[in-house]
Amino acid sequence: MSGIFSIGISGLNAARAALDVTSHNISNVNTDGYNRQRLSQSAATPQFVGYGYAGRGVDLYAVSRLYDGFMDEQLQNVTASSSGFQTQATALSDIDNLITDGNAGLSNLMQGFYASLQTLSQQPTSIAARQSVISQAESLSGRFQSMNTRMEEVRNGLINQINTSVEGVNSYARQIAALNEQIISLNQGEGRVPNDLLDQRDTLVRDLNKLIKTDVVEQSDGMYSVYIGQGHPLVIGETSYEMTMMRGAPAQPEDPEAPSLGIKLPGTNNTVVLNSQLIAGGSIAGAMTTLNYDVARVQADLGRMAVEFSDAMNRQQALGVDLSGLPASTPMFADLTAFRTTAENATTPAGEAKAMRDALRRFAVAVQEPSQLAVASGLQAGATTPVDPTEVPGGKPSISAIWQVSNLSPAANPTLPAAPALALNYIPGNTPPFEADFGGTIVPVTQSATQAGVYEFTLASGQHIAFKFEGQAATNQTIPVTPRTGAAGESAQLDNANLLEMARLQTRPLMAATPNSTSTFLPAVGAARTGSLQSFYGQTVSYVGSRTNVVQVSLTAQEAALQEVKLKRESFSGVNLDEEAANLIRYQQAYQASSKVIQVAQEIFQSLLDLR
Amino acid sequence: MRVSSNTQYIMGTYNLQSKGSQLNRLNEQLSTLKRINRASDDPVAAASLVDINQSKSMNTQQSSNAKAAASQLAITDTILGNVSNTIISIKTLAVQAGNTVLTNEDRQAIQNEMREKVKELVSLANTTDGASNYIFGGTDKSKPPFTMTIQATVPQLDINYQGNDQRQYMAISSSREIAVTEPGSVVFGRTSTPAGPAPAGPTAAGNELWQSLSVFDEALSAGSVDPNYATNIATAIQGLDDGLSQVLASRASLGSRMQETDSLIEMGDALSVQYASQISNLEDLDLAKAVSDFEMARTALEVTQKTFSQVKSLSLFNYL
Repeated sequence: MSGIFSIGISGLNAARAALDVTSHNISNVNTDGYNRQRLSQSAATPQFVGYGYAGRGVDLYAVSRLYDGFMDEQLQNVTASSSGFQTQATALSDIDNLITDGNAGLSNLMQGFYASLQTLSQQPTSIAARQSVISQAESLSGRFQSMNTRMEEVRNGLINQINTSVEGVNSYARQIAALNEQIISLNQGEGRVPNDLLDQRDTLVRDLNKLIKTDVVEQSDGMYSVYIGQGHPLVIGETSYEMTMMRGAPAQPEDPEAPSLGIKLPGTNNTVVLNSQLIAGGSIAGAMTTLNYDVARVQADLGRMAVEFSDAMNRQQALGVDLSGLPASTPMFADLTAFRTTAENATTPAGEAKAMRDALRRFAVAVQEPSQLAVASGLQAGATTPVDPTEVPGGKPSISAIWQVSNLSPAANPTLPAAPALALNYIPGNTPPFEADFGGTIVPVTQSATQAGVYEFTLASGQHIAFKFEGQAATNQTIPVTPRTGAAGESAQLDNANLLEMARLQTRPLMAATPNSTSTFLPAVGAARTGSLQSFYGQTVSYVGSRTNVVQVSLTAQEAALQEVKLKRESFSGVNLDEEAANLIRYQQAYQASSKVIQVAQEIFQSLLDLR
Repeated sequence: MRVSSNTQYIMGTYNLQSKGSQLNRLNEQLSTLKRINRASDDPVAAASLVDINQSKSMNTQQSSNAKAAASQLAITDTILGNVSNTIISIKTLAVQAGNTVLTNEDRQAIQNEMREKVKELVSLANTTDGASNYIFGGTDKSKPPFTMTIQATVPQLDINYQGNDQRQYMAISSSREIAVTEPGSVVFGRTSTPAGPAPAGPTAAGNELWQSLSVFDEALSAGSVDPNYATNIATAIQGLDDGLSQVLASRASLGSRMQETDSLIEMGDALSVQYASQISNLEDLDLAKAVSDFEMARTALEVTQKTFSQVKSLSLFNYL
């Protein structure tokens, strides 16, 4: 008889417990990382009562969560890579906007600078036109500076993000270690584990993966060991290790600002440096990748443009004479060649990027006075004299322009010395009809491959000289060529030959392509220069565009994958309110039925008691 | 498949976001009317745009140079027209002077007129342009290209060039720079000092104009008593003819350069249309396609919003 009571009560308890679980599920429907729970129950061990085994009601043995470890691991991986791409996409789209925008990019100002050179070539003596060249040069260097400022903002933003993320990693690691400890102490064995704490720990691991990709190993006692960067421990059981962001040495000896990651060994002051290439995902890895490859590459490219452009302009400027006829005394731009040497001597990409970053910061116009622009050639040709002394002097042909073309780095750029004497010998019938005579040494003259009507020759001492001539004669003639020194009678303010050579730098190949490598951003010293400044900039634009594009496509793919995994997880572990509503009714009915059993038992007792 | 209550929210938000960002992109393209708004939209085309924009800007600049060159050349051409007329009128005087019946007074009058014409000629050769640069001084603007002295002693008429032989050039295409000035030494010659023995003698190639003027002047001073009078006048006439053809040769060269600049200006205009259409092909939006894409994206977003709001109102709890 008491069996009915205890069976009824066990049913009542089971139904109430099921209602508890159901309402727990309902109330956690929106809890992040919650896995729906289920009550495990079974029929109690029956009792032999002579005619057979009689049931003894229901036994409850566990509340378990519907959790799939494999799915959770997938979710963690996808979370890490999607968050890594997200960080890259955000930073790259900043650079993308900066470098392409027609109003913010460099193209317009480079064109404006060269256009001002051409305008000055129309009126070489105009102070206004000279001033306009200086103003355009200032706008151009200003734009380089402001682009660098924006790049520095992106760079510092990423470093700050890494720093903050490292603090986040440490905080998550401590919480995971604390939960490990709590879970082990609350574990009752036989699957009776604190489900909600397990959920919390899994959520923390997932949040941690947003920052840095981890490998999680569940120990036999149920504790999580968390590793980062291919085997460096972050959490082992109840202990968490501290991650740090370092700057400069030892990982980045050439750039004191470059961040690197390390893990502090407990109880010591020693720090193990993590190889940033081995960190495969999470926003820290994304920020590191963008910082080490994209930001550094773009800054190195822009810096090289500044260095090569200013060096080429300065070299040509040094070969001309200013408005007063004196050899140019001031370079056009600040001398940045020391930074090129630093970059070439650097052994790490970070060192190269730092040198180029420093060069960009110092890119400025040096020439102040409009009259100091070396518009006129540093060379002059004298009157034509016949080689035959009986002929009348002062005839034809005449040299209508003669100038020296600068050598690009690393070659030296010597000016023409006053001695030995240089002369151009006219020999009718030869093709071309000229040869150069440098102190008795005959140097052949060739026709320029790129400029119509231009002839050129190179002296053994390195001077590359170009000239144009007009007219012809029937007999041999000779024309002296001398450097301009500012002496009276040399005046040639309308000469614009040196300026025209500067203007030709617009299409002259100044830049060697950036190597397609992650270990260096600089071409080999003396590598062939293949592209003009503008087309090199085009390559940088295209690099940034492709990188942004690739990262955005990967991000979209990873987000879709994340979506898939989330939905799969939801489908298995998520709470369905309709299902829980049905369960509510179901367990409510079970509760009511068990109550009825107790009522029946009570009524049977009552009937017995009534038998007096 | 089992569906959790959160599934519809996760899917709903994801779909709303991706449709929203698609719509946003189309909206940006439609408001700028450009297909490429940043390098990542089409990296290869963005790099080509950088190159084409430079070519376009260079073409514009070269057209402007060609126009400046054309106007500079036109000024020189006009002056050389006046120079030719002056030389022809001096030659007329020389022909007159060859008449044997002239008296000394007549020759004096001819000399006076001739010297005025020579002054006119030298002042034409010393013309400056709007920026007070000497047109015929080569690249020297510090002093007038020609000096002239008229004195009682031989040489009575002394004209000398003190400019240089260099020229100012302008780039009118990427591979062609055009000379916009003519040095006086090439147009007129360097010196009036005759090549032969003083006071008068044969003229030398390139210097015929000034030398013949000197020969003419000496002949007029010497008068018909000089047995070489007739020969000298003939030398002067021949020299003036040679000088005139030298000036005309310069004019012809100017003319051909002016033609070149004109054709380059036309070509520059055609090229700039070409570049504009290249740029437009690369970056302009296919408007019809973009508008229809926009309509589709808008409809898709509206439908997503509607289904989301309807699905989310379904719940068994509504019936409990």
